[in-house]
Amino acid sequence: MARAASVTAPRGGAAARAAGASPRGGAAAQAAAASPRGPAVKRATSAGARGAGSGRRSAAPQRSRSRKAPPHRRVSGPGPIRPQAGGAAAVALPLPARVLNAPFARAARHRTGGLLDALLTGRIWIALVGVLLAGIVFFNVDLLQRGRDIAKTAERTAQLKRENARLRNDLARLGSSERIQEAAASLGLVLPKPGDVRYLRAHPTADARTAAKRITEPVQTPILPAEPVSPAPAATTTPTDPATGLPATIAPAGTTTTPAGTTAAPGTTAPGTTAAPGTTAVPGTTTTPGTTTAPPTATTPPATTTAPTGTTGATAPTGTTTAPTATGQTG
Amino acid sequence: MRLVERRIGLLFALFLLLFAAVTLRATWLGTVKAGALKKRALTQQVEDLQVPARRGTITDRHGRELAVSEDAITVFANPFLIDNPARVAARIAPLIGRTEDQLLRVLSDRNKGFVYLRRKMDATAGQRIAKLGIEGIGTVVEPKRSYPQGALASQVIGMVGTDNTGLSGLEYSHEDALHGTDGEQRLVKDALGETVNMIDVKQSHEGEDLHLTLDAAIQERTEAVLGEVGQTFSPRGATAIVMDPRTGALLAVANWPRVDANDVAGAPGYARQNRAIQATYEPGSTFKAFTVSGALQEGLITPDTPFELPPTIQVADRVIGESHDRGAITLSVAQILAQSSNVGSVMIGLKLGARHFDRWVHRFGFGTPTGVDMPGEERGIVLRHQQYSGSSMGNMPIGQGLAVTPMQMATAYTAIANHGVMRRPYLIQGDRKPGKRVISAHTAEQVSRMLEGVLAAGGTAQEAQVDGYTLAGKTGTAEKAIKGGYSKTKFVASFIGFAPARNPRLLVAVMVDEPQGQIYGGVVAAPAFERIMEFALPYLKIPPD
Repeated sequence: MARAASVTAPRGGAAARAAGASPRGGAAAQAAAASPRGPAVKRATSAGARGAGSGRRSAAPQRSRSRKAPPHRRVSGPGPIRPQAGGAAAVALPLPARVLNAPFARAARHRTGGLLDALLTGRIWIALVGVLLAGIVFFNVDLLQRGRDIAKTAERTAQLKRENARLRNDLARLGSSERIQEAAASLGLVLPKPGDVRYLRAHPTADARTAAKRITEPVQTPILPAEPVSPAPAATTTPTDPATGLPATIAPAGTTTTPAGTTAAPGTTAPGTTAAPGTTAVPGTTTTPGTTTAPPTATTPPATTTAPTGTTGATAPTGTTTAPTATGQTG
Repeated sequence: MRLVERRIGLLFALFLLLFAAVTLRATWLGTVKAGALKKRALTQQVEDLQVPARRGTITDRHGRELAVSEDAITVFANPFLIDNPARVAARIAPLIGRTEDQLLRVLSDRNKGFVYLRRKMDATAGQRIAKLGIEGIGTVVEPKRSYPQGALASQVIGMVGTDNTGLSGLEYSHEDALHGTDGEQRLVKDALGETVNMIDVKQSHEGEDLHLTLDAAIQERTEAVLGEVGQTFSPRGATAIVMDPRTGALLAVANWPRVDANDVAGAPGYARQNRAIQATYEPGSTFKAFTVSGALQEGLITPDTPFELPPTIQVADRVIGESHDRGAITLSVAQILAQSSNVGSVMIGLKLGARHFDRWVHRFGFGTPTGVDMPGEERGIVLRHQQYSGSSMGNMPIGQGLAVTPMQMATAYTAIANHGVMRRPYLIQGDRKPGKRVISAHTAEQVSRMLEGVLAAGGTAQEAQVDGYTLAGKTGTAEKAIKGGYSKTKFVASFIGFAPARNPRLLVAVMVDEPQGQIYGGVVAAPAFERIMEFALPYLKIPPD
């Protein structure tokens, strides 16, 4: 219903515009009466009287000039308003009528009137309505399709979120320290005792100076890929330190370097002794906190032994629970 | 011609009649039946779904997930719609994990229009059931709480119910933050049941993640150590707390027996309890450190002040003796603490006086909850000095006649370890609380040195040693209070200590409830303390002192 209204409305409106006034007959007659040209007044009057449907005729005054003017018909309603003497009526006319009757407006109407007629009455209008209807259908179908797509995407998103949560759960389960410790224990790895862990003391200024001193030109010889290492004695794997030319002690893989019997208590490492150029931080002399393979198969004495200065004294082996002593366990 | 016109006329009349009938029917459906039809259309075409918010994840200090949420599928049935219950039961029984007989009984019950077949089952298996497309069998996605670390810290983290609401532990106390806001979605479906439109009626908001101060590795190790204690001494229960005394951050809160967080309901009530904050006990000798601290702070004694100790001491109607018979002896305050002398501690308490003693007890936080962010914390039982009986000062200085929680004890010891400033414990990252000075740094230093003696030769825990580190701590062996007195068979063995003694960075409290075979804190609890320290000190890269 609304669509029908929108189709008819322009026609009436256009016709009215073509008539040079509002679609109402009375107003059209008023506008026509305001025109200074006699015949135009007559045609406009008759067009206004016939209503919107015949308004287009008045839009082509030149064509109608060659034809014979139609006989004057009696029309109902108020008659044309005759101009009053002295042209005072023209001055008194409302502004829209004056604008519509302006020469430019008339010329514009004259030029577009034919096209408008063709558009409104021709078959192209039917095609246009058809296309519009098809478009509406298309848009609705497209909307439904998009709705389906959105729903599917949302479902897929939810599914992926679900999968992600499940994987996170699996990851957390696999990363649990209990499982890792069990796996490590099955591989023969053991936790280091606190006394086996040694800490290096950092000296920001001295360390930088030492590092700067150690910088040498890069070795030009190409680095070849390492060959498979055969279980050779420790003495055969002692390369020389390029900086000092001294043999740098490198422990073979799979051996702990801290002799079991000479374990220096943590904290007793004299600061500075570990920073001696060319001899410090020898791989193997420092046990990193982590896991060491047990049991030690061979030991290599550290290049510079960190002499225990102030040992913590003999401590009972840890991990052994003993019976109450004679001193009395009152606590 | 007339005939043709008549036929056309008839045809027109017929069409007109049909049109009138259609119009009448349309009017009937559109007006009289409109309400009912609209309802039916809504139920067929529009579906309102609750979108449960994803519950926040609980992680440890390193981001390891301790509690996560994942979607699970709940399978339900409408027995009215099932034509052949036996066949349906046979098809879905293996997928659901129930026996065919059980399912058949449920599906054949025509008195019910809705029955759950399985709540929150694995999503993959649930989707397989949904794909079967059996009429009368439906599935719905529900969130499920999962604890990937199993039993780790289960009493602390707590559990959620089937409706995704926290029931205990942090899941309960932080329900508002963790739960988030559930949303609502409206699905519009076409005649084939395919969704053509989806409207977010109410947006769901995920719950906030909770980052704890716990360290999963230390927690795991602490629980493992308690497990060993459990195996060796078969106690009723055991609790251990590991914390950073400088901040109050809790690194581990362990309870034994362990409870699988994914199956909390199957555990006994006692095991489900977070005894670190919910169990009260008489602390025994571990309390003597506070008696001595108060007297030191009041300037009544020094670590070297000698006390001539008789074999027993009588206070009102109560005679207090040592755990091991001895004759009269002279001991310094440091020795009294190292050897955990009951008589000596009572004498120090008497020197302090009831009013001052009471003040110091409350100053160390006893009688009030520590405020740790875990639910259900006990405040303990501590009398005011006006309520003391004549013999109160005969047993309170040695940790009897008052009840505390392990958390209160650990918190009070932070004052000694942290140069006199007591740190309130916290479990949620960013929830650090300000410290409170309880004793002077000098007094804390003095007490700390004296506590080193407990683990030195002649002390009550001399066997507990960690290579390279100086330890300080205090043993405790308390008889359990029973009706009308103290039990001679039930004890609580405990040990609270810290390391490195000169620069404490780790504090461990161990409480073992009713150990069997051995009863002394130095034998039962101190080795557990040692093993926890052995792991935690290198793990946290704490250098020796």
